[in-house]
Amino acid sequence: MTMVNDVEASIIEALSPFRRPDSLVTGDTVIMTDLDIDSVVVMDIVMELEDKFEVSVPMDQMARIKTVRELAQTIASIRSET
Amino acid sequence: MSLFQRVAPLKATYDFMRSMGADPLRVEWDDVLSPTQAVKNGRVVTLAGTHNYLGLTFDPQVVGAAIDSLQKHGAGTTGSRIANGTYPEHAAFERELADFFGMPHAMVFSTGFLANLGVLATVAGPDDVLLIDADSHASIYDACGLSKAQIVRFRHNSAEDLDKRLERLKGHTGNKIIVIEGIYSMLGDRGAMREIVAVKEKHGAYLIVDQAHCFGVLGENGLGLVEEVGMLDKADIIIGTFSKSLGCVGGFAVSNLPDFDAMRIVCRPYMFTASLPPSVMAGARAALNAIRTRPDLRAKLWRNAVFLYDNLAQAGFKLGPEKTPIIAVELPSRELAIDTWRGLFDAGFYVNLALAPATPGGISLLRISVSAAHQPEQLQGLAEALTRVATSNGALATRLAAE
Repeated sequence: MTMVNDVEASIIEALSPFRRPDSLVTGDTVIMTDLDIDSVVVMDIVMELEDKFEVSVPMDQMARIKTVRELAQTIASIRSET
Repeated sequence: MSLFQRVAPLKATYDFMRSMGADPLRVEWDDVLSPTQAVKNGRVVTLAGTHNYLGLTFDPQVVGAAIDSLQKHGAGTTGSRIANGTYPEHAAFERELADFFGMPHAMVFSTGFLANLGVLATVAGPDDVLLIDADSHASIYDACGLSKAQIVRFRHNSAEDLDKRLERLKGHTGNKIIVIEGIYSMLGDRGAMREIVAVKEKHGAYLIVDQAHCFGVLGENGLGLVEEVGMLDKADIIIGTFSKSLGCVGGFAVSNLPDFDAMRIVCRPYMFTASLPPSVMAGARAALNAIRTRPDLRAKLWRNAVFLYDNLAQAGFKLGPEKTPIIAVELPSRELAIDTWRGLFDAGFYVNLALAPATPGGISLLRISVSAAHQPEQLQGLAEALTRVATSNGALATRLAAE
């Protein structure tokens, strides 16, 4: 669980600049609809996270991810496989 | 939920442009006069955003060949080559293109977009990995969506980043297929082919190079970046388009891979769409001949590109990193980019406006494409008008203050 929490904290930090006024980024935040962010910026942020956690998150897998927590779980799970 | 709810943010950007009095995505010409001139509201506009690199759209040989074929073989093929057969024009073009590249295989697609879609989605199977440059064209991203392969995106032009991502795939047994472009369409910079080929060879990967913007433009004979860097044999598949330097419409792929012809019976965007009308093929064939026999066109294109780039750099604009026929002018904000586009259009010059998410790093750009058909006075006029507009709306001052 610690790994997922670590990853989630990193994602929240990276996405915070894109939060809407009076809202917070949490594990339940739906990345594409709850934030003021476009898909290319999301892909660039994922690239940073990939380097930080030394994983590759395939884009096809990214397409199925909706929330911050789902992204954190995916990164943690890929990380544990390597 | 509305069917278009998902695209609301893009629609908002478009509405914002229109609220500023600019509609760069839907310019309707009253008439088109030449490779570099069109008419809007009764006024002649200089075209500097149409990627008509060699200015062949009105070339008498290209137009003449198309007319002859139109009269001889009719307006359309009414179907695909697997159903309706191959016209002599398709076969002749493919033979001549293969010969030009010195490769055994050439295959024509109905557009460049379909060439990328067809090739990438076909060669990359479910067990494979497609590694694409972050700044890839939309057709490459969409090909990834169509493919069943795993998709990995690497940092733009970074062989080092690609290497790192391939390292992470060490245990993966499927094919690794790297996709790069010859000249990237947003900033006009060349693909880092030499460095990427070294990484490809280190990892035993395949390499596909999309030469949409550099075929007919780079290399001693116009064969593109692969020729310029002396690595024709290092690309496993080369993709290109007829809609830029060839002045027509269509796409192609050429390859040395021995079993490449299998594509003709498995590649669905080739098999299940109508083939190009013979007149288009005849025009493209004449344009290909022009690329082969008239190197002066390429020389003029480069003189024009360097002239405009230097002029704009001297005026203080922040430009793309390399002098190529795509000149990207970075503006300080979305608002100033839209306003500058509108001012330039009102002054009689058409360029492209490119905003996030279409641009790398979310920057706001005016994208100019230079043609061999431009006269120096047209380019001089464009540089002066752009400087005037960007001075009066503050875009140039904001940019210089940020230095």
